[in-house]
Amino acid sequence: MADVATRTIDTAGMGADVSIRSLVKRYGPVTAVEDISLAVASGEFLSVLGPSGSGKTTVLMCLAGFEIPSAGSLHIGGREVTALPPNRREIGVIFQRYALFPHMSVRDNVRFPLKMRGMARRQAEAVVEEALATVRLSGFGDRLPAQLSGGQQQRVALARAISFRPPLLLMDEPLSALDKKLREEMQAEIKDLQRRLGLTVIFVTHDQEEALTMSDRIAVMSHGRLEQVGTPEEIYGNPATSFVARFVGETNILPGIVHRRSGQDGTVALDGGGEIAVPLPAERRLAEGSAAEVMLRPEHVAVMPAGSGVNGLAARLVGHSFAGATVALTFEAAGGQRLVARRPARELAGLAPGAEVVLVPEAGQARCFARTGQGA
Amino acid sequence: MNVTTRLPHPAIAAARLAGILGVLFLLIPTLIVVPISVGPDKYLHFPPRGFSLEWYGTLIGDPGWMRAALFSLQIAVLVTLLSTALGTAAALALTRGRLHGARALSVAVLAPIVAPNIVVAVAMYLFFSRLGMSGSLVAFVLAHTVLATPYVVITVSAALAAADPDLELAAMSLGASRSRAFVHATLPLILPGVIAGAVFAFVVSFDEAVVSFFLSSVRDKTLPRKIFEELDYDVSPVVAAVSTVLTFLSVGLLGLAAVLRRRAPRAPATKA
Repeated sequence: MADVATRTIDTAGMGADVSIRSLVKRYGPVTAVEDISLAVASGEFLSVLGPSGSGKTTVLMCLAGFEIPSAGSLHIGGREVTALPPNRREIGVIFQRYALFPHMSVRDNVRFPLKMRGMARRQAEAVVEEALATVRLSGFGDRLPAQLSGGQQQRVALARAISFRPPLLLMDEPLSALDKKLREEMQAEIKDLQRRLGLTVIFVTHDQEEALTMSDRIAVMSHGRLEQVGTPEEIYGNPATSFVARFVGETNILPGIVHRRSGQDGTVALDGGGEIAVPLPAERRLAEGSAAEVMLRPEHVAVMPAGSGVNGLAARLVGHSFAGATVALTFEAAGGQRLVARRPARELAGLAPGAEVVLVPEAGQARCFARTGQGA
Repeated sequence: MNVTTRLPHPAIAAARLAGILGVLFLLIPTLIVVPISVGPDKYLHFPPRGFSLEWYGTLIGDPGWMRAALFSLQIAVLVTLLSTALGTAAALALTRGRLHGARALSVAVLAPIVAPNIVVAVAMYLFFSRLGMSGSLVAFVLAHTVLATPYVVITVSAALAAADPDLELAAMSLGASRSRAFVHATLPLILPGVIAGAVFAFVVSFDEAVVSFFLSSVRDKTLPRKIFEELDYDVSPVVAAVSTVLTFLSVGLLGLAAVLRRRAPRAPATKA
């Protein structure tokens, strides 16, 4: 079956590059997207990640042609499409709720785009079979969408969206209606399909784990603006803003005051007591004496016994939750500050609630941001 | 349902009896014309003393009745076409469009149902008589369309609420123009609602009496208006025969509408 698929719809390298230039979208007085510029390479898998209301879906709707931008321009495969109606953009769109036509069989659903393009019935029939084979649904052609599971319905939607060979696939939270296990299977399947067909994919999600797993690059959005664009490693390891640090992955947030700075290094005196060494980006708002927030990933917190002589934050274990290979340890430091450390499960041995420890941030892993006053 | 049939609890039995009595109370005044229409007497009499279809024969043979029926039918067909088109368009605009003041607009669209018929009728009468159009086919069609369109808006809006708006977007992304997307993705799903609305519109127009009372001329009158007149100076069982035909026509059509709405294709479940 996979054989058939690779033979028939192997069109690697057909992905289109996408360029979003100064995109603005307003609804009355509300600005949903504020001046976004973004370039997506041919064959790239780019996730647009953000909480609901961040404008990520609006960007997608503008690309698909369902919304007309208030300002800016959109280019797909070198062609400006800003004012082009959706049916002339040649983009496959996958919807959160599948959007299969309930009154048509699976086969007729997949044939729909071919019919719209006036393809002869017999030729279309073959293309439909290929597309269904590609998503491993051969033999399901006669079913109605209501007779399929959620995962199968989304695969039909995929088959329908690729059957006319668009160079760009837009996906709007396509997996959020599926349960965790099925979601992970579909993630792998979509990635595989994208690689095999060489498609450019723009994938909207609010699930940071999903974005980290699937993407070549991630664009993080908040309040209609781009916070950061980068590889999953960059986004996770080097968040550009405190929003990105909070939104992607777990993190400890320690408020304090920049105490000393010399060049790119410095220390922050924590509000709850104690001091922590951090790399300090060359930013005006992070001068000595300014309010700052230190972000520390749980996996970058080492746990030492109290009195071992190392420099760190004195803290007391208040709880732990076991997660198989790792364990999340919750500590209370001076001033009531809570910190979570994620350690290999074996390190829990010998630690009972109430144990006194010293928490040591891994060198160079803490990140410091100016405190904006909005708080946590 | 199963539970109530298995458990003949006294309270449930009493409630059921009350329900049956209530339905009878509502139906009997309407259905009483049926036995009257098949009685042999020359005036309205209940209970009938015998059985005869004479009055139905008279009805068919009377050019006055036939002329009124034809006029009513002509109006009703035109009203059905007009209000189905307008009502469907209005329902689309109100449920799918991004209109400022959509809520106020939908109240305005539905107002003719809520406003007292007599008020609407007087307004129509004054309006059309000033234009010198009172009694014309155009006046009837326009007046009835105002009354019938809200019913189409209601049935089509209900159908649209059940149809996923993403379907049309999906169709467009797959290469359908806006109008083709509507025809292929949305229309098949709301068609039962549209047809139900059309049936309502037909019945509203065909049975309409109050506005017609004001708008009818000596020459051109609708069936309900003719019934009024006949009752005024000739209490013949033909009136009962006409009423019976009207009643069964309306009930039949509304039953058809109900069946169509039940047969609407259902959207697939979206859960995994």
